[in-house]
Amino acid sequence: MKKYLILVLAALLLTGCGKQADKVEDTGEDLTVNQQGENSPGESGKQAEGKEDLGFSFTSGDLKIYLNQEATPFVKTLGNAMEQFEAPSCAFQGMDVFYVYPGFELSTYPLEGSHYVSTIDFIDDSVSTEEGIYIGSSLEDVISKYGDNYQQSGDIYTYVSGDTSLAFAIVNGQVENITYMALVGDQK
Amino acid sequence: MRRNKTVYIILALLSLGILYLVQQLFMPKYISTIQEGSLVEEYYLEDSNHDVLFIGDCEVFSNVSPITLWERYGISSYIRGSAQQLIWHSYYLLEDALRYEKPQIVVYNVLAMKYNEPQKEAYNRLTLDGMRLSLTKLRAIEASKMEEEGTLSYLLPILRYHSRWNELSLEDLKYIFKKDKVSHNGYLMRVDTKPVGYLPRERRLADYQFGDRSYDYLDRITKLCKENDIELILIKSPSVYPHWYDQWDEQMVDYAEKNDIEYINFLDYVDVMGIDYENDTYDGGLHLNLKGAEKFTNYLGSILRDSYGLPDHREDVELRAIWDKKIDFYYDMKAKQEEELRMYGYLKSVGEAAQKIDE
Repeated sequence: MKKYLILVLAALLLTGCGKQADKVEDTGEDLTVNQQGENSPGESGKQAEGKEDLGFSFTSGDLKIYLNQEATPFVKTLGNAMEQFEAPSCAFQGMDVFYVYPGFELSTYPLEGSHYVSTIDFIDDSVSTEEGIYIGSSLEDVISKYGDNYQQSGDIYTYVSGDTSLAFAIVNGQVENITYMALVGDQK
Repeated sequence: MRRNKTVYIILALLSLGILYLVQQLFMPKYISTIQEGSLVEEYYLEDSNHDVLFIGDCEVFSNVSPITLWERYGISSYIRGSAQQLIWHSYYLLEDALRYEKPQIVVYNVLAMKYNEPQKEAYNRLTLDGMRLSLTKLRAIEASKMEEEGTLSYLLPILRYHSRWNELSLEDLKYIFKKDKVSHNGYLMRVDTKPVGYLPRERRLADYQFGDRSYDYLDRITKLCKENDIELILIKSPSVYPHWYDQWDEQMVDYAEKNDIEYINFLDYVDVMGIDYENDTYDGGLHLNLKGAEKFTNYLGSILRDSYGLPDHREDVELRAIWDKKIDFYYDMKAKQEEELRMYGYLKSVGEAAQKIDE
């Protein structure tokens, strides 16, 4: 009986030990797959779990920006943002940060003390995708460059590559908005 | 034989006692950091009923001041808010509250309608860990848990928090049995100011329709209120970020009309309330600071009094004694935060720095 009690208690205490159950704020989304050890922009290291596909990237000047990669090196290279906005979550589980640069807005998400590129949103037609699509391009241009393997929901045409998406909002046959997005958690 | 049985029973009780102690020690205390984690359990310390119960996320626990409602209108209220409270959390917190009291009015902030699925375990923890054990809590866990989460660790949190052994602090020991109050009837005070500057672009969405699950729980809230003869008011609190889309607003207007309830988007009344986003927010427009919360609450109180006829209890001696203590605590904290602001230029105790315990 005594042994039984001890066993029960030990089992209770040890249950779940195999699972990562550290601080509450470290848990939740399965974001760790995107975490990188390397910080160099342009050679942002390999994806965890042996994934090679970094998905869509955006080039600003000579800087190639990848989603889901650590943001600090990119932000440093891009220089002072024209505007910046910090959005704490309801419980201050870190901050989403938005930076505005000429032609685009870049946002980051927090994970274990670092920030990762979350979205790149075009503001005007002074920037274009690496395939040459900009705000004002036609839907035909988009399809000719990216193909017809898109998902359409309302006015939004979305292409997916790896853990990233590239969405074009089409209004009256023309691109009105372009957004790169890191796919995390249920979005994958 | 009989003696052995007694020994085993004593041993079993002793083991359970030790397990309980260890669990209490390992549970996060949410006093000096992430105070939002204390909100749900603080409700159980209340010893009086309330005219109004607020449910929802940070747009209620940061923006509404029950002390102001009492001071200006004699209306007693409580905010059952929690961080990133999703609508199923809200439903079950309401169901839980109705085990203890029956308010005349329930006010639900609708921002969380945009979330149709559980988001993060962390947010579940901040809401569910503080709930008292009941069938309602069990149902709340089932409705809230992420795919990889199990029910047992919510019932026996030591299974979740045992790995905190290497980060235990004096705070964990100090508050092992009793915690300091952090809220004012569910309101988390902030007296600092950070004006609204740049706001992120309003991104086009592929689909503006709120999800079926969100509507299902909104229906449940509506039904629960009707069954209990409680007036339900839907509100959109006057926070300017995250963006509240017109398409979302229209859905709430339609829902309110169909269900014969009131929906008020307070973003439309910012000027009337006198809210100035240069001075009345502490984080650039996401949440109101104390000045902003008092302005919003003052306006909301006039609606509760004039349109819903809530009585003024300020002449009730018993209630007054209870609220006088709450008022003292409110102004003490206000003075302390103002002093901190003067000393450091920011709120060292509750601000961003204090919240970054994961870094």
